Amino acid sequence: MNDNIIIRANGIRVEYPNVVANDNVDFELLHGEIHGLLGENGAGKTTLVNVIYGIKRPDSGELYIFGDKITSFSPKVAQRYGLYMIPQHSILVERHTVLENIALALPGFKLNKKALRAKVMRLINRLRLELDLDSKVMDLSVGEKQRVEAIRALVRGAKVLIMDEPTSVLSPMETYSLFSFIRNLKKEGLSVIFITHRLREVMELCDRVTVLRKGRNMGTLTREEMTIDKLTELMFSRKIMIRRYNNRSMQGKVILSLKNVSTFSNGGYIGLKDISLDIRVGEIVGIVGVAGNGQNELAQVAVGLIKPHSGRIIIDGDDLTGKSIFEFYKKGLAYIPDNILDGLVLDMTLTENAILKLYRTSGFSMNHIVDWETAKRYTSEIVKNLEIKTPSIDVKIKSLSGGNLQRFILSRELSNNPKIIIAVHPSRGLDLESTAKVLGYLAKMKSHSGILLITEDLDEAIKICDKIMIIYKGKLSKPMNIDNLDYELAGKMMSGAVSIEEAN
Amino acid sequence: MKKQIDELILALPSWVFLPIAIILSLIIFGVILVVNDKNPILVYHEIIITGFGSYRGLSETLTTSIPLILAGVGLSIAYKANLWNIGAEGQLYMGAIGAGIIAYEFSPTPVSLIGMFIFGFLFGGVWGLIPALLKRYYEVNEIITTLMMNYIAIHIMDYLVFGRWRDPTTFGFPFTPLLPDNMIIPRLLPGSRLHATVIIAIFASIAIYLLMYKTTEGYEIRVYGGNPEAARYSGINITKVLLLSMFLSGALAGIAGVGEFAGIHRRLTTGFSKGYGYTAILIAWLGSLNPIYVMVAAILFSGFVVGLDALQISIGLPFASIYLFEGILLIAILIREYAERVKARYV
Amino acid sequence: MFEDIALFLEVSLSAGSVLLLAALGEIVAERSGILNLGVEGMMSTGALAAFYISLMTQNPYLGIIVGGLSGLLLSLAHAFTSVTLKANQILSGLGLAILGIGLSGFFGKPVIGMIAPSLDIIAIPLLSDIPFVGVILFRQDILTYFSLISALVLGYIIYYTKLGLVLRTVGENPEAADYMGINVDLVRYIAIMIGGLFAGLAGAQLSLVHLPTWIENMTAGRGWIALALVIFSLWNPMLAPFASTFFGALSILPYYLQIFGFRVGTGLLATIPYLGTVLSMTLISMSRFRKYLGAPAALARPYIRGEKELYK
Repeated sequence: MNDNIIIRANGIRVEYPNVVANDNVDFELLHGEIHGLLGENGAGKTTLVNVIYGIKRPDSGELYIFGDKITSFSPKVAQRYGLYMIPQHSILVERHTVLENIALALPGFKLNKKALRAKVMRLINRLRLELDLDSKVMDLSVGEKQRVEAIRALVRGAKVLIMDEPTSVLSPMETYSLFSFIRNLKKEGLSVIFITHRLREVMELCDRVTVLRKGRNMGTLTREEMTIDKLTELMFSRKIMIRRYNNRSMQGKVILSLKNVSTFSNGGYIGLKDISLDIRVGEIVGIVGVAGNGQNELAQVAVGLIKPHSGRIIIDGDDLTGKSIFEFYKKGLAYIPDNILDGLVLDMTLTENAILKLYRTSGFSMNHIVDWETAKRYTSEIVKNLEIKTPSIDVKIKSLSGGNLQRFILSRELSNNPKIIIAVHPSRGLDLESTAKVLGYLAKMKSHSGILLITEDLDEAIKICDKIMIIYKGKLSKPMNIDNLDYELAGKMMSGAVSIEEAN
Repeated sequence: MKKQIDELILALPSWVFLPIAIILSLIIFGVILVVNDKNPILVYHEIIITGFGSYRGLSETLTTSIPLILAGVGLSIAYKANLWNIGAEGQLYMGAIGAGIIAYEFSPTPVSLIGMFIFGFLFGGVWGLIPALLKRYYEVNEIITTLMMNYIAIHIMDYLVFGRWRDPTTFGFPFTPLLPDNMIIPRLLPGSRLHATVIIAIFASIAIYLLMYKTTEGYEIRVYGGNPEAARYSGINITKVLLLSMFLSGALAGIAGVGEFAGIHRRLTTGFSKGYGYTAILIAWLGSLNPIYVMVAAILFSGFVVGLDALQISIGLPFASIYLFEGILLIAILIREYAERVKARYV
Repeated sequence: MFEDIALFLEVSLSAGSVLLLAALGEIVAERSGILNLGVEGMMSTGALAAFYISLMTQNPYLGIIVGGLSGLLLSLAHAFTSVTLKANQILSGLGLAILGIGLSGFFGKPVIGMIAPSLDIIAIPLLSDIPFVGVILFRQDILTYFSLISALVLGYIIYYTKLGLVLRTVGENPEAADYMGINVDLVRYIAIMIGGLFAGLAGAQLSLVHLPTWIENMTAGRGWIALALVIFSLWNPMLAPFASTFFGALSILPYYLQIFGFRVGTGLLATIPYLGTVLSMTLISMSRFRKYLGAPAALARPYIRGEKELYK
């Protein structure tokens, strides 16, 4: 066996109830290399590193670390070999100083801050970082926090760092300094597994890359072999047969339109930059993009939960900019949020959840008195429409399974003849059969509504949408008609290989 | 061990955990009685006889239950909104102070008593509103503010009772003058202290039940308490929910204060509430935050209080026994919460 | 005049040290993320236990130890419900407060009004002769000395040792603590027990120093004030003595003012500590330093592995 191989995975297979997350995946990490793991969301990247890091035991396959066959899967074992994962969401203690956070990770009861400080400072100097050890973690940027996590791992003796989509939360400048940091780590003799869905980052940083698609390893390329075209081809499933929902309907008037909408980026929110779009009755417009590019914010602006700082939102000819979400609902808007739990009260019954948006409208309440009889009738209808499995409509909704909760929300939102439907990942977490049902249902709805579908899955969008727009870092591409879609270009735009401006 | 207990919990229906908690409390309290040379069977028997078995006992039980029903029902609104109002005691004091303003600062009129109830309602309500405003606009934790405001209210009462409103004829005792007859809440039954506030209490329980379960406002409060994100999703006015629920919660405790003032003591003194505002917390949870059940819980618990009170004299049981039992019960009903958690995790 | 001020501060410090002990214990508990509203109850029980033992054995120092232990024992009930059962800490703490008051009232009835040997004032030689400062600091009873030393020691532990770092981590981010291999439940149990021990000691001081007798309800709300004191001292043990002396001064101020012939409403002055707490909490919340000064982030939140989202 090659001494240079630090990690070798053979035929890793991980199966979840509805999906095969890793299907016979091989992977090799060499000493001192930066190895990219590239793929769309749900391609199986995180599952693979979870196996390597011991969080997930594979259903079959073998894993060797430094030549030892791993039989017990646990992060502790991985750490003993010097493997450390830098999680996407920092688990540092915000109100502690940087030094305290590092000290916390060391074993023993002694706290020798002076010696530790000297040790960490030497490390920081070698890596050419600028970091104040006495500043509180909450005052650091996201990028700095990642570096603190990495240093903490180094102090504990890391030989391999696994970084799970570190750039998805970074600005371009921060990404740039992260890359030089990673290159310095490599000089220190570390190996890095770098997970990303962005082609350009792989091209810029990685020595080798393994591309995953739908749980399969599509190939490992060396630096010399990498080209944008080659990677795009491996990353996105091209030329596969896609059965389209082929019920064209007459396109009617514009029902929802966003005109030059911008929002501020703050906290966890991605700022939207000058977004315009029109949706007509009878069409489904897909907003496709990799998670975290502003699609959730776009949805929240379009339903009135976030107020834009400039631009207008017009529904059915009326300007609703700055109005509350309730005004939007009154215009016949249905909204399936990204996290369905945001639209449910788990400790309430199905009936109580069914009227969450309608309770103020006529028929469901009069003079502030809720009409529970109507509510119950309506709930029974919702339950029947999408075949939701529940013993009764009077049980707490938390007793329903995840898939049934999803169908409940969908059915609730679509039951009241909405004019506009904004659906964020309506098929997330569903199995193939349920997904087909959901999409079919949406396709049926478009005869009298305009639908905005937000999805991360380009194939799903192609199946059902009439046009799609790509969202990348808060910017929206021009609408592309599905019949003459340049698939490759769409993929490149999603990964940032081609910028939105270039394409427009 | 833990696994077996969890499996047992899963096997049992949800409604059994409250009775289990109550029985457990009675057993623990019984053991303490035994340690203290008292026969628990005898004690429990006496309690039931005295608290519920006679005209005198039953009417006294109902009398005692009035402040507990009002404050308990009020608290159940706040708790349904997931607001931790533990300031019912202070809100009760402020209600009495509000009524005192009418009684001692204005000349008596035929409608003074009604004015006292209105002022009590408003003062208690505002006392609940302040923590709600601080929470809404400055994100100040309501647990500590409501608790602190209990003491502020109690000390304001001290100030009034020792100073401005002190009855000059009581030779330095901290009492306010007795209320004139037309400001005293009429009593309902002969030979009993049961006063007309009991009607308000029963009416309030039913009204708050209807508010919480039949109206859009109650629905909004419950949605917000269950999941603030869902309230945002639904477009519920969160400020309205916070202020309304805390105002009503305080206002009902305020009415309880008026009842104790003008119905029982007929004057203000220091420490005139025997911790009703704290006991009401227990009552609200015993009644599962449902106003009708809260009313039932308040009456049953009051019977226990009245029974124990009588035993004080007959067999020398310390007055503190009731606190002892109350504390045990409050901790024991947490079993129910644990059971719900276990069930939710496996569902 | 100068001596009057020194005397006033001496008494304030001593009056405040009951609060200080209770507050220090609660700071430790809250630093681990546990809100224990039961201080009043643990103090009551501690007061009775200490008094009872001192009465029976004629040894107040044995009384102190038993008083502290009784608080610790009672705190285990809160530890069990809030840590093991992951139940609501507010209800459990209130239950504990009421339970403790009940326990002391129930078992204390036979000894009401008796006089037990009290703790002596120990004047430290030389130091107590220092003018002004000596009078204030070095003519106190053993528990007051203990409370002041504890404030320093706990402050040192919390801010400068690994143990303190672990404690703060559990209170700030139990998920991170768990990830680092820290036993969150164990840390919380110990923190609650320390809180109980100190509350018990505070009770002992109350029944053995200030009024060397026992009456029902003798804690008279001091346990609740201690909770306010925790916020007032920004969860910092080293700030707690200043806050407690301030609160102590306020509690005796009315008597002093009366001596000097001022007539101030008894009640209104007594509202100052509570008003002060509400105001300071509001100011902290409004200030831009909020994130540095606020309560431990995980305060009153049960920690259940992997269920953060469900039970927020």
